[in-house]
Amino acid sequence: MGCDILENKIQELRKEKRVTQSELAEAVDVTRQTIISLENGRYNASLLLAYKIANYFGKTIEDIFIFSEEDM
Amino acid sequence: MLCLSGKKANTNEEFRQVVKAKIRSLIVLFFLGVLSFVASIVGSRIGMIDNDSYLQGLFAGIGAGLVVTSIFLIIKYKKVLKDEEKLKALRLEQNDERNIYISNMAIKSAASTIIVLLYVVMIVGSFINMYISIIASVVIALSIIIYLGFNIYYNKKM
Repeated sequence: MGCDILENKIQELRKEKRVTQSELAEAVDVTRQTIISLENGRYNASLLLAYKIANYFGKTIEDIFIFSEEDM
Repeated sequence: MLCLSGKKANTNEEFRQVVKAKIRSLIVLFFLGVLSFVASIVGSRIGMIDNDSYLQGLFAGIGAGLVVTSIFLIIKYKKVLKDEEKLKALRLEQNDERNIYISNMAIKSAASTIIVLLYVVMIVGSFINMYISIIASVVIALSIIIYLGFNIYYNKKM
């Protein structure tokens, strides 16, 4: 049985662009708490939110969100 | 927080209309609360409800709760309407997908817990008073039927 893992590079990209969590949250229409949860891996973004974040950083969804499947 | 509109507002102007609709709903709730409170007093005066009874306390408590809560929320929403930053913050908070997900998970968990508790009431109630058991079983059956109904509805809608 596989275990799906979705990691992301949001924090890394945000720091590169020198943007705060609040600024990113406002730009993609979510709360700061959601950005924190995304960066900590406690919450997975919907397709729409993933698209908005990718668009904000000028990258594709696959560049930011890394999906992997591990065998348990 | 009272959320009676299912519409998602993408701009402050759209959300302003949502907040105004909420204020109108709260005004209705305010009057319902007053009605409930008045019913508790009038009911006991004309002998329909016993003085110091559970019913009188229930009507008065619910009425007072509705009145206080609706006044508090009306004032809060009126302040939000006057401040663009607060309006935006509230819009983000209410439309935030994670908050909506958490709310849906909480409702789902609460519903499951209530069904289990009702089942316990049904079993225990059968040893105390058959009517308790019957009412609990009817509520469980209705909950399942309504759940299946909404399941079919949303299945066809999406």
